[in-house]
Amino acid sequence: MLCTAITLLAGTSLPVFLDGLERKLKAALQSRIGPPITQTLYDLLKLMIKESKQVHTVPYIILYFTSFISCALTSMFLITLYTITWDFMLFALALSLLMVSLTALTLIPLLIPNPFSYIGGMREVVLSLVNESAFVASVAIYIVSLHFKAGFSTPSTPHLLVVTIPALAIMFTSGYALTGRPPFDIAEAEPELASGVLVEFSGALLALYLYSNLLKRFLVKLFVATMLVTLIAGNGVLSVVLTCLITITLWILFTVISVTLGRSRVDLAPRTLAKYYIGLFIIPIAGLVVLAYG
Amino acid sequence: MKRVFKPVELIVIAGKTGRVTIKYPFEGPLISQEFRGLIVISPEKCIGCGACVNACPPNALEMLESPDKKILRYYIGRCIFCWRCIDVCPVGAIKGTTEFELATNDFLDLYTYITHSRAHCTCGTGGEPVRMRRYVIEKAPIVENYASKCPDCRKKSLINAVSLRKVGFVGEEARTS
Amino acid sequence: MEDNTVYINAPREHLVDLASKLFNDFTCSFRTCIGIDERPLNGHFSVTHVFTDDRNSLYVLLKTYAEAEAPRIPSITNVVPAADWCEMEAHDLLGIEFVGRDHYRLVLPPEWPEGVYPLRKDVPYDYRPRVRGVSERLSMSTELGVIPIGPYHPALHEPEYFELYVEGERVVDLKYRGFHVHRGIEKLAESRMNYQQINFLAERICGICGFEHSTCYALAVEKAAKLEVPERAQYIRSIVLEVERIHSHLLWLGVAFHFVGYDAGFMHTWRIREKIMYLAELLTGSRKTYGINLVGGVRKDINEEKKQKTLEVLREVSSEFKQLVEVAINVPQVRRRLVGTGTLPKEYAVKLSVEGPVARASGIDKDARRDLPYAAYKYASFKVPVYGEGDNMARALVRVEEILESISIIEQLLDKIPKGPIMLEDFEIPEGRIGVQVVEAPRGGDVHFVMTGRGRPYRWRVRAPTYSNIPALKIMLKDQPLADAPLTIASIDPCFSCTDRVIVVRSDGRIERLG
Repeated sequence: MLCTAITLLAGTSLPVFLDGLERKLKAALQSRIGPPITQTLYDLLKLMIKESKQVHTVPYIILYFTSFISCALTSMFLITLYTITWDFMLFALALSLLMVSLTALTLIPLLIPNPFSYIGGMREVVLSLVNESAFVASVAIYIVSLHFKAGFSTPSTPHLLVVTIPALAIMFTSGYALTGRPPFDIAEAEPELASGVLVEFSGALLALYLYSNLLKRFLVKLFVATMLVTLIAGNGVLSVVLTCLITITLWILFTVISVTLGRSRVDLAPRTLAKYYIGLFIIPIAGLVVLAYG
Repeated sequence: MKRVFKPVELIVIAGKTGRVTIKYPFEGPLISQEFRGLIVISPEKCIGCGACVNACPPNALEMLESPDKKILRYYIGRCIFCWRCIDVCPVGAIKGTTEFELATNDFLDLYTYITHSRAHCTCGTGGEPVRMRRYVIEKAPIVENYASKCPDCRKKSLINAVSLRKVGFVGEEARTS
Repeated sequence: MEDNTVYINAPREHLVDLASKLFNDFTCSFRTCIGIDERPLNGHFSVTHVFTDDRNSLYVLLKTYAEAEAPRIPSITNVVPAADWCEMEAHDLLGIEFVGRDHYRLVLPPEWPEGVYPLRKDVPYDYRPRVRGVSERLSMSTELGVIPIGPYHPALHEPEYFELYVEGERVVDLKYRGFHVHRGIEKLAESRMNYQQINFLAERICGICGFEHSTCYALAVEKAAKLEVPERAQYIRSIVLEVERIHSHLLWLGVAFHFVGYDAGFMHTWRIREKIMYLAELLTGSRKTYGINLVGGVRKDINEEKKQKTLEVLREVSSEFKQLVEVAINVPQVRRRLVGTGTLPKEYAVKLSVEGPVARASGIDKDARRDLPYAAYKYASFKVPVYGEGDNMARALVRVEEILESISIIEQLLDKIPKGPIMLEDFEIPEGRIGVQVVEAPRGGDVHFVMTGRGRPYRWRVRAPTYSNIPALKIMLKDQPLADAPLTIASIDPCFSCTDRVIVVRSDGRIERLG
């Protein structure tokens, strides 16, 4: 009961403050003072009281948003429980909810009846297709491999080399790309040409969109953090705390990486990423096959 | 391999320079002593000659004329802060400051007026500002009697003076002036 | 023939042949053409084409006359494609018809009444025609997608209107309509201001390269009136010109990084630029629109303390800038997006007479500081960077090297600066003389043509460098992916305020906005 409350509270409020921290850190790397850490909170609150111009597809959009948020929060809760109990069913549920929520969020740009938003939205959809599938697949392969023998066990050394490291590599890259930071913030990239979703949303709807993006970032990092925690397989509260700390560290690391890189070009990014993932995927799949029958 | 990690050197650069932005309204602005800001015209020194009005490129300084007054108007809204007026003022009545925070709610604040009363000739015409007359008298070796007349009266009194000295008397028509 | 200017008065029949000879056989650069309403003087219109022979440091002015009623002059666009825009400008503003080409409205807005030619002497400068605004429709094409950029867009810096015709993600054609910020500067200068006031007006033609406009104007008038400007003033002018060049290139570099998404590069470049802005304020009194140029000299001197401070600031800027460029050019995304995009092959660059870094990045060795020396440049030795590839990266590298060269030039000039007065006292400007001057602005060669009148110029013509560079965009953007379009447009360093500068101002009430 307490656990549920804490997880929900942390899950809803932590992303906002982490985003504020990100902006402050980005500013420090660019030699400026930057906004205060609570700035994202102020932005969201201010957007809620502004007027919004609605499009006729708004009910569907709100439906998608709410489904995203509920699935995301539940997924967060379940994956946290997983780190306590290491029960495979919990993981499976959490992963499927993750897929549903990510897909819902990615499809939202296609619901907007503005041809220029469509161009931006399609760019994002293409990128997401590549990244989402890579992320989900790598996480699945990783955890499934850990549960091969009955129950959960920490990975052995050959397992580590063949499965863990490539899977983690793919997870990091696709997780980073999913969060929509440079070099992959392509959808909204060049607003003078074609914009994505941000051009049509205003007021409370925009606040909802921004908040969902923050939740998505947090969720993705939480998953990656859980994978890292499996390497030590502690129990109870220790795992949860560790997961939380690793999530925050990951957020900071991703921020620093995003500041030092530029933006990739629209057609280059998905192609390069696809080649990279396919190359990397062959290793764990082959390794698992060998391990299963060896 | 080293080239791949070059972008990370950005962190080193950022660390060395620290934060350069300042929280502006709460801290002072970053201007040097040479900055050209607002001008201030001293009403006591100004003689109303109009040299600044001639030199001002955007016509921020204008001379408004009326029968008994001559008014120098400075409109901050048009001023480009070039300080040409300071260059050409013969008495140094205009001073430059480094002020640039000039926004105001009331646009009438942007106008500054310096009023000069006119000095007339005894015949009633003419009218350069009183101070300009005093300035000319001070700077040039001219008798006050001569300087306080309008050009027509000056001509007449010169003719009278020459006539008095040459002929010994002043003609009938000239006597009336 | 006078000093370094050659005057040729050509009868109409030979104009095209002469122009072709100059452009092709002698490989002169075409700079601009100027239409002048000389009806009060000799009852004719005239068109002067300005060429410069870079290798021999000569200006060549080719002049033709046309009668006052229905003036017609043969067009040289077929042999000199670079003359396209300026002939149309003369047509719009003076009503001169060019035989041998089709006319279109370039500079004035579409709703401007026919038959009213603003630059003619009988049209007053505050004439306001009674028109109703006409809204234009986006030309919708069925086979190709049309993407409009501008004229007002939050992401753009200045108003311009590009229509990109795209096929999928590839740009196949481009339509440009500019002159939204055309402000009537030439007419204003001819009607209302005297010689010294125009310096300040010229400075406000552009926010980034203002000082070189005012220097160019002052030099043109001094050339026309044959004034001997004190050496110290020329040195100070060159030093401030180079300071302006550094600031402009740093600005461009920051903006280019921003377009590629590398915002950290943008912030750090502009942080370095801030030091230069402070230096400019120390030297001249203002961060931009320096206001120190006058016909006959400068208004502000450089004393020993300022000189030491300048050298110190330049040393800091130089080391920080080199370090930043090394880091930024190695960011993989910056590299991949700048190399190989927006290529301008050399033949097109020559035909369109492009200017500045755009020309130097396409293999043309052209720099007015070296070819047509003015101010104090003959006393400094510097290298002119030339690259052959003609893509966005080449243009960026040309600008980076120019910054380092500028720092070296300032150091050399500060070392050699002579003592003496900074302003010419007592001089007169006679009527009816002509002065042409080319100054190397950060964006290329800027041309000012002054024909003196009584107390104010009879005709003043400004041709900013971006004017020549925009027609080259059509070639640069063809067959490029759409995502590179903003970057390519930004890589010519467009300064639309410089380009447009002449449309009769709509004054609101009593205030006349200058420039």
